[in-house]
Amino acid sequence: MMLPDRGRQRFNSYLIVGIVLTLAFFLVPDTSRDGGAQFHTILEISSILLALMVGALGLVRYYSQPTGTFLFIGTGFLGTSFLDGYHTVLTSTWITPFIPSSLASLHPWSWFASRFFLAVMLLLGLWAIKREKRLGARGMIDHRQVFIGTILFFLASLLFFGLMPLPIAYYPDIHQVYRPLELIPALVFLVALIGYLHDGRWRSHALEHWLVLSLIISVVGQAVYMPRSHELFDLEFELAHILKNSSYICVLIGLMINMLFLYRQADQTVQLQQEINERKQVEKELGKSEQRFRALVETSSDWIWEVDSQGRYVYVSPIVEKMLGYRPEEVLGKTPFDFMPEEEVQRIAQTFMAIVEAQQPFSALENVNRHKDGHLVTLETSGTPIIDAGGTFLGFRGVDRDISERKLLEQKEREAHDQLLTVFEAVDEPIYVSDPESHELIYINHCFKKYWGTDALGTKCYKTIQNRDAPCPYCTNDKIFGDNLGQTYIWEMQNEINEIWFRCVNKAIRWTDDRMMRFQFASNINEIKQAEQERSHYRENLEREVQRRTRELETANKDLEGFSYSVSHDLRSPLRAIDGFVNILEEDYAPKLDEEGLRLLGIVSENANKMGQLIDDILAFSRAGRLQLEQVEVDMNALVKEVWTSLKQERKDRNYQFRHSDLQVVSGDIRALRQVWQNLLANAIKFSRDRDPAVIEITVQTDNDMIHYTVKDNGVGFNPNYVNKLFILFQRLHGMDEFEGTGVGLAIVKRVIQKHGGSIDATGILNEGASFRFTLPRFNTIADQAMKESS
Amino acid sequence: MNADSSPVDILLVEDNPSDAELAIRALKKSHLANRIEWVMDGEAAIDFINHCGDYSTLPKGNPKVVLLDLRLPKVDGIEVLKSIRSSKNKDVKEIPVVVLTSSKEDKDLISAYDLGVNSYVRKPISFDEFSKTVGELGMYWLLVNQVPESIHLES
Repeated sequence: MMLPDRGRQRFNSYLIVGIVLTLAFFLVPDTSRDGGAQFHTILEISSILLALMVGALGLVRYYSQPTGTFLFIGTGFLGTSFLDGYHTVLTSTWITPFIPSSLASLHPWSWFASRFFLAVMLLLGLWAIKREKRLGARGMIDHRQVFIGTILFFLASLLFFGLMPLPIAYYPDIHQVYRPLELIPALVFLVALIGYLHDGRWRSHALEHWLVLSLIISVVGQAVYMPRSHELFDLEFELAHILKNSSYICVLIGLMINMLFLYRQADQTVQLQQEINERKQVEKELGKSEQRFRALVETSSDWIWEVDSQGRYVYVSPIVEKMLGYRPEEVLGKTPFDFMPEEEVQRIAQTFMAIVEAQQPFSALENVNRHKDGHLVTLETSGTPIIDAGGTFLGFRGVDRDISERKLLEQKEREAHDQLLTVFEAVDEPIYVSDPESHELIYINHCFKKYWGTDALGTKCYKTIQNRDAPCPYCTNDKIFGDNLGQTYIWEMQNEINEIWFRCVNKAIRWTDDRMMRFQFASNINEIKQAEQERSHYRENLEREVQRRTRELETANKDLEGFSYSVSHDLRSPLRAIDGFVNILEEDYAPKLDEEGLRLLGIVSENANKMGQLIDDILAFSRAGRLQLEQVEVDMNALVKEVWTSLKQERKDRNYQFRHSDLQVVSGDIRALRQVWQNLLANAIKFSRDRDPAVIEITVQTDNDMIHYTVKDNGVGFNPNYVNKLFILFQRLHGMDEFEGTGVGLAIVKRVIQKHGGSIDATGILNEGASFRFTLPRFNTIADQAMKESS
Repeated sequence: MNADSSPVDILLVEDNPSDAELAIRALKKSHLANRIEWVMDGEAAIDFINHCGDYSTLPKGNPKVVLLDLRLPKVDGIEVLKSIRSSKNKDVKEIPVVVLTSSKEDKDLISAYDLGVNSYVRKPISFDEFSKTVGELGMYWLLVNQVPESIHLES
């Protein structure tokens, strides 16, 4: 908005320019000066150039921001420059001969054409302003029409001036006005001037301002100076040309200022647009962030609120309904105290007031509230004061968190801990809990105090328990913390103070402050330890005793071996000598002995042989006792067959029936088992030799890991009353004259069977037969085991 | 029976004079007794075989068989057998040795056979059996058994 005094200034300048230029004319001396055609040409050339510049600038301005005014100014000046050029050409002396008109006519008429054309175009420019003001964008003038109009006018002028004989332009008869023709463009300029002045834009617009100035100059030039030119190239003529140039310059200045403004404005517009865009962006971001915070506030599980300086709620997030049962609108306007039980208000009022007074942020303030349905809710309140730019306290903004569950949990944890301590107290063995970092005893039970004193709490464990000045080198903390956290470590130690043995159980335990502590339960194992030591002593003694006995036994065994060896070798020699020399006696001295003498020698010889047999049997029995079993797989079918065959001599001339089922395979020493079959079968043969047929049968029974063999004969049997004598060395149930034998065979059998982990018994009925049943472990072949596994 | 007489066929190593007499009687019955040398302990047996000690003047030659008891004074029968079998003299090493003993212990049997005894015979108590056994032994080792050529040549 242009200040009014600036319009005034401009208007004054118009008046001054108009008056000064008009008055200046009267100061022009009345001389007969003739500036000549050359000077005119120079002036006109500068006119052409100026007009060309104004025209070009005007069109550029028009095309950068189409407005009718600029179209007409641009086209007008462009056309004017051509007309001025034509005028210049026509009026130059060298072309005059080809033109039908005289120079005196050509000059004023071509000048007139140029001036008139420009005046009309400027008037049209004013018209365009009015039209556009009235019609807006619809009022835009088609630039092609303007160009065509301009071209047509120019061509018409060209032909008209070039071909038509022109009428005279100077009328010396008219007083003071020699060239009245010039008043016509002056009139048009004047109309345009009045029009522009009336339009009023000159007050604020530079172009219009300078245009008005240009028009004033043009009006003065056309109305005052040029008409008074009484002949070519006189002073008035030249001044009018100068004024024309001046008027061009004014428009040029106006256009340039306009364009300068335009550029500046364009810059500012761009800047402004940028600022607008930025502001929009910021607003958008703010909107988003606001939305985000709102969403956050309203979905948060915490209750977010705002109170005014009086403590009244002015904003509450909807979650309050879930927490306290009241809808947000029920809470607004109330104070926090309205939701607390009376005793809680009393408890907390002072704290709350202090906070409000201090206007400081506060956090985690616990308070108990009553839910709409009556139950109590523990809230944890945090807030910060709201203080405006001026430093005025407006209230608080903050959050409430429902910690009822946590409180309940804490309560339960406390109770559980108390229970734990009760249990610890009740245990009649020392228990302590210590801090693994500081080694301080943070709990000791009743029993602990009995061992290490009642004031041990808070002291260092190593000092109190072991009387050390630094942590024990055997401290077991590394066994229950770090990588071993959760492990239970059990160890035994002898206390360094009271020398009592303890069995200690260590484990990390979570204490009330949530830290992992060292827990130790120790049981007094002193008595056990002592008993153990005693047992250990006893065991050692026992072991020594066993070793001693073993050595003795080994010695005895060796002695026995030596004894049997001697028996077999040395006892037999005298017998052999007795028998041998009795025989020599019989052979060499038979004629000198009578029959009785020979019979007696026979008895000596027979007894010597019997004694030999006895010795052999005793040795066999002894060997059976000392036998080291070589356990192998023994096929009993083959073994029995072999033994039966070897007893052929004993069976000769008798009818024996021998039957047996599959005798299977056992695990045992083959030589020993051969001996067993040998003795049993020989017995069966011997005691059934009077039967016809004698029947000997072997049957087999299997259970789990054992095999039972029964050897049955139909021989003389035995009296069951004496069954316990059967297996005793040298015990016989039959007379020597009845059945020969030493009473060693079954004793050997029993020994062998027992050595194999089996047993033997016998049943018999006198004169009906005997049966011997013995048991052996089965042979566990690999195939057997595989079968067991697969089943 | 004399060291200076013709070479010996049978060396009887027996400490028990009764057994020795019975054995010699049995051999006599088989007409094998004129070339018997009887020694009463292991040491004498080794000396006899190696031609040393009391027997250093013995003419060359080895017995065709040694009848060896195991229980002997000084050096026992197993040691004598070991000495014969480990002799550097190949002819001595190959002398047939028959153990003639009362022992029936496995231990003795095993060690005798381990040392390369040619035969192991148990002395029966019955005189009949004894004289029959010894007689058969003498017959077998002197008349039936073939020994390496070198022994024949030297005897």
